Amino acid sequence: MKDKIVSIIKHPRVILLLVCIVVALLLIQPTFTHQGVAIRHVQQDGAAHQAGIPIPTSDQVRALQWERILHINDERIDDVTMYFSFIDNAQPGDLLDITTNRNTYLVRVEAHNETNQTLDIGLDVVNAPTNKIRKGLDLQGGTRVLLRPEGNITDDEFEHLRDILELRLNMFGLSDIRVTVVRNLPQAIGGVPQFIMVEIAGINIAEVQELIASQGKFEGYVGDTLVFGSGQRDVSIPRGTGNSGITTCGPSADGGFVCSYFLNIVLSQEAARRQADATRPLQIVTDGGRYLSEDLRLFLDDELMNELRISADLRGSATNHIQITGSGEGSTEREARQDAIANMRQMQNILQTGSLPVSLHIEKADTISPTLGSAFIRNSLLVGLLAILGVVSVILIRYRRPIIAIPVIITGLVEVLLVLAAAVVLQWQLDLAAIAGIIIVIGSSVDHQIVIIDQTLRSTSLSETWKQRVKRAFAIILGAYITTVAALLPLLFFGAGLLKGFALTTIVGVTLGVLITRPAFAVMMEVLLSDEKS
Amino acid sequence: MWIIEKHYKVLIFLPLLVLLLALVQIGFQYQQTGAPLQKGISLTGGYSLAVAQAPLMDVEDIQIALQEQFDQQILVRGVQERGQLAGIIVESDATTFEQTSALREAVVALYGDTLSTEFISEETTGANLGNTFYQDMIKALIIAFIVMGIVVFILFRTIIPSIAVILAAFADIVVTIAIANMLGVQFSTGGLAALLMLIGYSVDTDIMLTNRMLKQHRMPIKERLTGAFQTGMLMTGTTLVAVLIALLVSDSAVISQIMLIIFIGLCVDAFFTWLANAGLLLWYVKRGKHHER
Repeated sequence: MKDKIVSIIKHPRVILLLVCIVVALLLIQPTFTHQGVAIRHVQQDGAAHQAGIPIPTSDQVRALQWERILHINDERIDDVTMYFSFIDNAQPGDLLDITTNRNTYLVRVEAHNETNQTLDIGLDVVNAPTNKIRKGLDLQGGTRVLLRPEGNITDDEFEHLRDILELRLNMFGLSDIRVTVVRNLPQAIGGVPQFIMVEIAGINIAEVQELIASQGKFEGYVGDTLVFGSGQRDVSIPRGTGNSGITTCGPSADGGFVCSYFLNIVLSQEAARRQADATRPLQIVTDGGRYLSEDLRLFLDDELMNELRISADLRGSATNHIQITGSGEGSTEREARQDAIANMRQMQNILQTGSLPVSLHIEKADTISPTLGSAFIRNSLLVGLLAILGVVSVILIRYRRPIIAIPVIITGLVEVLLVLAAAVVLQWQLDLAAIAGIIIVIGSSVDHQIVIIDQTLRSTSLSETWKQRVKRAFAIILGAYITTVAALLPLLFFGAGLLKGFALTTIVGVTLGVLITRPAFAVMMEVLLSDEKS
Repeated sequence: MWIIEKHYKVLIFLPLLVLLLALVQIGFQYQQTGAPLQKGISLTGGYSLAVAQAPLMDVEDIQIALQEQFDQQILVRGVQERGQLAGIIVESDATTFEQTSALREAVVALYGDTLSTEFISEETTGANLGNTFYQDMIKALIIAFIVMGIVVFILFRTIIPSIAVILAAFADIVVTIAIANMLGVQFSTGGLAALLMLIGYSVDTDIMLTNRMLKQHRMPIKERLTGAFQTGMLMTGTTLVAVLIALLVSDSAVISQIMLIIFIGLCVDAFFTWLANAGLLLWYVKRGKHHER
């Protein structure tokens, strides 16, 4: 028996399999130590924020980068349910000693000053990831909205729309946002964009729907007069260098640094005239420079975004070209410069995209709570386990030899492992449909293994060599494989890509199976059953 | 197996009869609803609200209470867990934000406002999108069939066995849909995806059978059939067990429907593969002692 195992391991196909297993484990990086719950979002001015818990920044998009709560009041927090049991039982005035992987915070539970109801401390948490596999909406909880723009718009306009949506969502301080353009076919073969998909952490679907469904309304006011915006293409950014940049940097009043930027924009004739009319009656004030008595105030959906000073020389002139200035701050000059550049880019983005007059229609909106998401994961693991046990029982009943059953289990499990590793590499998210795909990969794997086993065990009255039998087995397998892949390929794009997870896991799973795990299984069968052949 | 061997010429009429009955059922369904199958909310458009907490009232009372408040069609179903009512699913053809949020508030009120948002999941699908999904899936099914036909033909390079495989897969899908209709299954996008997967599984066993029957020249026909049958039933059997377990244990509606469709489909596939496809192949092989290659 030992010799058999050694000869199996030495075979190149099996070596390839073992290498793949190691690579897969390295990619997935499972951890078994206590990870706690990860903080996905911190509500501004909530009790937690006041205690100093930092809001995840927009570049900390992946759960692995978020701060994690490990203990509350010296009790270990293992999952979201435990976290909530603390929060739900907290009374106003209670002090929560929250220890994270980075710091400790003392959070005081507050009550609403009118209703006296206990206020939530303002943390949005999810179970901390224990591996690098990304979870989709169904498993992590969150909101997904599929939007269709009214009318026909071009590819570029679609991208602009995507940018502006992401910008607006970022402005609201939401982290973990994915805004993507959904096409009906890959761009390379002429696919056109159909929808924009927005996926957000948190389950405030009402807020999200209001946020997204309202049209992007960008307006500029001088005093009370509307100068530009509101649907017309009044503002554009001129191309070429020299139209934006940092002007000066210097120390600020509070000991830090401040840098100023400038940004040239072009107004339409109509808007320019309106501006001339609005600025003509204004006074000049001197305040570190000569400016007009009213500022140019920029509103995004009726919320004040920016107040920009208007240079005195622009009074009454119908200039198309306007130079907007703004600033950025920091504790060092370099920080101030970076902040200024970031603000400038944000302005460019808004000006360039904010005035697109396209209304969005919500085609689909789903929310799942994180608790339910975790429940689904546990349930799926149970299903997988029981399914494998069931399949192995059937195999044992039929062949009555554990020597066959064990490689079957190993092969099946390895295929699942490889699919999960592929998910990490390709950065796609696992959702319920993907899990269904995995179960189907197990089924297909077992089917093909049975074909291989039976070919191996066939009586030698056929006088076929080992190679011929394996060739026949794989001819059968290949035909079935191509059909399966062809059947599922369209799913990658049809259905707004919502079944992408199902198609991807199944296709990748069976491909890796046919190329790597099932040939290795054939080798195992040859060696282990070699005495049966004679 | 010997039954098939002896009477295959007659037995082949049974699958044909079943196929015919299925086509009749589907025709009937088409006449009633304009589609060959019953579409669920993700294909017709509508709103689905799932609450994972036991309600304070009976499912019927909830339905009556909600229907009184709203014009849209409302359907309330109970979710059982370990024999007890553990939650509800409310479905309606509401599509606008105002309608769905109003319905949501009404449901929360029926829970006496003691409902934590943790236990609520919502899904809204616009009618347009639902229809697009449906059309897309039908297209995908057709494409899959065409590709399968090409692959099979390249593999076997003979007309009749190839046609047998394609017909068997076609019959699988058609009869599965008919059975699902009779069981009252409301297809979701997942359910249609399961049909696609079924093509793959059905072709697995049919290709294996055809390959064994046509290419194992030195083996007597009866042995080829028996061997193929044993292999094929084991393949179907193991997948059936896995799918059945998933169907019984899974809490997810998406997975449950996918597994149900595949389960039905595999049973139908066993029926068609071993009565129809096998019969056709037997006839074909015996007739011409199919040219040795």
